[in-house]
Amino acid sequence: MNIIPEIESPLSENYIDFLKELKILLNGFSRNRTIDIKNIIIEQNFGFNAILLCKLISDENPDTAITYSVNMRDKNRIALFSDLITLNQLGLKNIIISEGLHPVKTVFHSAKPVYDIDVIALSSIIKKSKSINHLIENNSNNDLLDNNVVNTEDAAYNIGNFNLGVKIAASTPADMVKIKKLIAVGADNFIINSFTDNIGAIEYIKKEHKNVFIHINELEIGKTFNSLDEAYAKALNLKADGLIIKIVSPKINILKKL
Amino acid sequence: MFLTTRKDIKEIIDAAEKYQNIGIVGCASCASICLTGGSAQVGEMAQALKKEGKNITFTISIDEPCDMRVLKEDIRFIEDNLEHTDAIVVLSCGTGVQTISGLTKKKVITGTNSKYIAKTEHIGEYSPLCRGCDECRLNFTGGVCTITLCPKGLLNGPCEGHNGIKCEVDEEANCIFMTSYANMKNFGEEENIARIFSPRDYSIKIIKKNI
Repeated sequence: MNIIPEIESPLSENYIDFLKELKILLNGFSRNRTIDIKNIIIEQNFGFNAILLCKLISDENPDTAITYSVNMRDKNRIALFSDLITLNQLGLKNIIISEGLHPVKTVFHSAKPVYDIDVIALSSIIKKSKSINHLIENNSNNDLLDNNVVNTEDAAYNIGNFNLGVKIAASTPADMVKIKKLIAVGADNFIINSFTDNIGAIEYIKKEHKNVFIHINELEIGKTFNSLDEAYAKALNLKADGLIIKIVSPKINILKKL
Repeated sequence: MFLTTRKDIKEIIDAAEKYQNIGIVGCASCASICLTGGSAQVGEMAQALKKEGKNITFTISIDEPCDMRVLKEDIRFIEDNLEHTDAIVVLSCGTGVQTISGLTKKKVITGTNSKYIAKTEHIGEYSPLCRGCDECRLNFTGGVCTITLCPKGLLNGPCEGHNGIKCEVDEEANCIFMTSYANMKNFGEEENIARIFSPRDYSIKIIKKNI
């Protein structure tokens, strides 16, 4: 089972310094007996462009899977389609989507929240659309979920085959309904917010042959969990496929302390 | 009922600075119910503007200032006063304000902020229930509007941020998807529980002049 760092694209620091830090982080992992970093998630928030950062990291670390994480808060369908086309052209096929923290819970308190498309709708679009022409055609028909047109004439614009992760909650029957919908539309990976599964979500998702990842914030280490090893063991016990740790600050970065 | 809240009097005084002779119109419907435009508030506004040295040319409460038919009838009572009026302070929702502006061709100053379509629990206690999205999905959501009552306006289920009961954004409110699910379950609407909504079509929200 992997531990996967999730890092927000840097806000104030120079991205070149950020890359140097990241390199130290990556080299440090190989010395650790329990942690094998094969994946890094770069989360777009309001910092440096995360797709560009994914590309830079991917070029420098060809053996590491780089995943772009984006939320529905900041981008409407036009901007999201642009992201999909860009990712596809750059060969970045791993993507995680989430609804995302509402602006009132961020430093941009008064920003207009977007939420044009939700996670289920975007998942359906990603997994069922075959080409950008297809996306536009379906959008024109306001028929984004019924993607029965296959257009593979122009391979350059083919947007299929994304490895799609979705962030979910897993504590209520309403969450289970959402999980079932996401499985129906073809999501590949399910990222569960912390260890909150009390509805048998992990078992259900595994039965459907999908991957489950537990997502925690590094600040929980030392509070909710005595150590990273404890969180790791708990995730392992749940038969999760990975433990995602959100790195909230380069200063306290828990992974650098391993 | 369309919910309005009172504007800060300073903003109204500021907007009225250039105008000496001022009329005041209240709304005896929605704004009256939410205590922003009833006859009492019209009287209070007149007092506040008099204190600022303004000459009040008329005060009137109109049943529905957003209804041109009603407005045309009632405006006759103040026709003479209107001639000597520089600006009208309107205590109604934005629709009433603009309807009065269109009819009188006078400078109008709104005394309220328009919020949303709300349920009245008691006088002074209101709950938002509808945003007028023009794509009502209440038939398929257990009778609760997730576009209005989810701060993210989601359609297809709860976000990842709720804590099992409460909303991530409004921590005092229950996540509306829990209510939606419970209602549909209670009604035996399995087909609606499994329903996936297509994203909203915002092209229909482009405001046309007339319907």
